[in-house]
Amino acid sequence: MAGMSDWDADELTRWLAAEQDDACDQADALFARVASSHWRPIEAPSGLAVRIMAAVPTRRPASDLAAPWWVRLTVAAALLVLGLAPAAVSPGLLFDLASNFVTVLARLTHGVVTSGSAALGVWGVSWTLLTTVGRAAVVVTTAGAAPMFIVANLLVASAAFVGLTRLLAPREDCY
Amino acid sequence: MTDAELVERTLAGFEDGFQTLVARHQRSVYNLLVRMLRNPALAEDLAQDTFLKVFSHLRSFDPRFKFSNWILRIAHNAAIDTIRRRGPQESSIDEPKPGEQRRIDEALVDPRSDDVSKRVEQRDLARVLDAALDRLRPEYRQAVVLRYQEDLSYEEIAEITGVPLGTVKSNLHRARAEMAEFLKRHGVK
Repeated sequence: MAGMSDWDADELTRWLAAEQDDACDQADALFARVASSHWRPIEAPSGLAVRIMAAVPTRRPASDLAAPWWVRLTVAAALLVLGLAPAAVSPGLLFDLASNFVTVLARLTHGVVTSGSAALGVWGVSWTLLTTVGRAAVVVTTAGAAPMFIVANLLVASAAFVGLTRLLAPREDCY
Repeated sequence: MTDAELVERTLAGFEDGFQTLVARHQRSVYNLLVRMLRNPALAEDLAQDTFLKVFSHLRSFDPRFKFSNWILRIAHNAAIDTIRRRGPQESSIDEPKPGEQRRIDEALVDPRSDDVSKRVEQRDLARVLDAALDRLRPEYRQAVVLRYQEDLSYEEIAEITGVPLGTVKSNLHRARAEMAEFLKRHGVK
């Protein structure tokens, strides 16, 4: 019979014997040799690569930047802030906040540049800024229809968060 | 050019980078899928899906790992999902599929001969091994294909299939034993 040499037959016989003797490592090595010489992998059908490339989107692979949860949370928070701003801040208050901010910034710069005790100065100035903003926030969030606007914006931000999560979530686990 | 370099090239917008990756890995992906699913048309569809998933998740590929293992893991997951959806379709090890017994008998030229080389020809040994592989459970089949056709280590197989190293070793041991038993039962001794 043509086709199989004595050496090949010997490998096959030795593999079967190794399996029978439960000689695991030897059987593993012998079967690997039998497989490498007689048992080729099945080739992909011709045209598969062309079919794959035709189905690949022409754009670059999607960025995963937006996938992490913290990015979605940040986007939702940004939406919330953007929504709250017009609801909560009146033009007068905006002007007050801006002027306070400029004043504080000037004091901050002055403090940093001129003061010998920069750390203490920064802390004092920052505290002034925080208390100013905090007072303003309390005033605006409790006045008139502001609480309703805030609740509405919270709902919009929540919906945006859920929507983004669904939109950006990978459809299947890959790895 | 290495796989990692081709990934970089694809991410930079050069289509030929991905084209080379497809050409380089389509055989191993298709072979694993067709061996696991035993359905060439389905394997072809899943191979395409696998490469599309690879393309869309290319940015998450960690170049510290082997690209070939990453893509085989994606293909393996796709095959497992499909097998679960289809449900058990395994035929008994003792019940050859229609027409298969005849093909095996033809492959084993003279089952009564003392000389192995006279019982089975080189060309036909592959057919008998194919038939023996077909009888195995999917988890055994994939282990055999990855180990003896893709030449992967136990550790790599564990990484791709997501099963413990010890399970990989015992799966391979049982798979080989079942294949040997099949060959003996069909006259190869």
